Amino acid sequence: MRTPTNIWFFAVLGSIFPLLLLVWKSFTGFLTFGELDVSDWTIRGYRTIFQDVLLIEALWTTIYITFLVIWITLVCAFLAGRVLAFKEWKGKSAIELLLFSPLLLPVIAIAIGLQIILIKMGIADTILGVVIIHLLPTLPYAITMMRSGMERMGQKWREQGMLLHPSNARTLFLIELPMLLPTIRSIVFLTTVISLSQYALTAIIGGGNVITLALIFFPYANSIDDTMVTAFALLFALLPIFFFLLHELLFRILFSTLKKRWLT
Amino acid sequence: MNENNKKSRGWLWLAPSIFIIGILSTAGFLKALQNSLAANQHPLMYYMELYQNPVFLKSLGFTIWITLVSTILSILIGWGICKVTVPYLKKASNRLIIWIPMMFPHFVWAYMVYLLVNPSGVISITLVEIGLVENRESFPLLVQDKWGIGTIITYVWKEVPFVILMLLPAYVEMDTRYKEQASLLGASKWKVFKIAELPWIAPTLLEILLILVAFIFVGYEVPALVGSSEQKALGVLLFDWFYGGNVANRPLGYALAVSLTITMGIMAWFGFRKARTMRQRLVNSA
Repeated sequence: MRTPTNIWFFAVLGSIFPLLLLVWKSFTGFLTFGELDVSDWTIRGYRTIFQDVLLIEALWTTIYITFLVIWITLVCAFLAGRVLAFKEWKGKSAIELLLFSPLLLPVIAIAIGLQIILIKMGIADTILGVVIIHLLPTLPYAITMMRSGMERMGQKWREQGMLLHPSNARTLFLIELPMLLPTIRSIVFLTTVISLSQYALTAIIGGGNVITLALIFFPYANSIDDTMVTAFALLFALLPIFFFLLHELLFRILFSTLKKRWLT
Repeated sequence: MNENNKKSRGWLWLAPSIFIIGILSTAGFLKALQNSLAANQHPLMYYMELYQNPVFLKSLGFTIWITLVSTILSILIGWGICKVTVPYLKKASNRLIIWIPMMFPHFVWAYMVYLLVNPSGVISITLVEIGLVENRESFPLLVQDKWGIGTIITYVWKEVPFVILMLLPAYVEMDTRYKEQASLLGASKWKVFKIAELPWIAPTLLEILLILVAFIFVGYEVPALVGSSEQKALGVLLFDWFYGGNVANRPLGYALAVSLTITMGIMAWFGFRKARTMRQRLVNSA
């Protein structure tokens, strides 16, 4: 079906224009009244951010945290999703509400109380503490997505697999996970975005010790150097794409290796 | 025996998620509660102080305003766009366009809005350049303003794609035969909508409403970047009371954290149950 012009108008205005604006600003100098010169291209913004030692360090911390958050989220959501998709029991809706509750409650308020506990346990101001608090906003979405992914897949494929070769691992890696790959992709992407977005939670639990990109962006955003800040802003969009591609590659290698080992 | 085994294994599979979400939230809440109660005076002293605090009351009114406006606009615009674009959104490449604003954290989007609408921003300069606006002073103040316009623009722009993506499955799976039947029987447009469309999407709309209200009501990042320092949103106030340097404000901060959690907990409980019964009724009637 051809997409009509007025819909394209909304898409361009709402989605494509902001992206182009950021890209354009990141490559141009200051804008001033009276001299709207857009021909002056520069890579100064990118040079500045990649020469910032603190920022590079924060980039590694962020990648590390995001990677942990993605995997814990995936594993927890897979386990919970299957039970929620295929089992019925009394009190199930209470559990559903509980697992969904971080999206309906003020997580920042919970984090403030939690910080005291984490200090006593000795994991406040650590990467582990930050990973745990990031799971609160990521897990509910992941569980919901995994659950509907499993409901779409149904149980027949799993049963078929177990019938052909009664091995949990083989059924999981050769049938279930490949079929769930679209769901896993969306979860990896969304989890990355959510984890990258946490300024307040990271600041509270990280206590100034765990410096992620979000923590650096805030002081940066008050700078008048638009070129540098927009270059930095685009980095936030590149990371979800990076993690998406990385996991695509990881899963493909995993599946093909296991296929070769088990089926030949 | 076998049956029992299976049952307990189900709990085992749920355990990691329940532990992370349930135990952590409960522990965090209880600790905040404990800290919000005054030790030697009336235990609820900080709460009484909070509810009379002019800074809090002003911030509460302002936060209700930005939350309501942002949420209602996001839902109406997102819903409208979703209804019109459903046939085109079945194509994955078109859905990708909606994902673009979702790739960015909220604070990046707030910065983008700032770049666009600040008094010497892209729109202001362009309008002056083409002569529509005389000079930068005559361009209206849209960021760090007292009505929270910048904050509302950011939230609406960022939440509309979210609303579309949440509603999309409901529209894709909607059984259009009911609609056709209703119009064949001569129902008015409004009636068709009321009996053959709204029931399908009402539970999802309610869930979106709950998520957006909870998210915007205590949001920190967006109002901190594009909000004004005189009109503080509750999220910003809460953060300031804890990390603003004045330790005397902390008990008030805990009282605020607990009040927010309880209010939203009650809202979530009733809202979620309502959404569930609506969905149940749909399944039963189908």
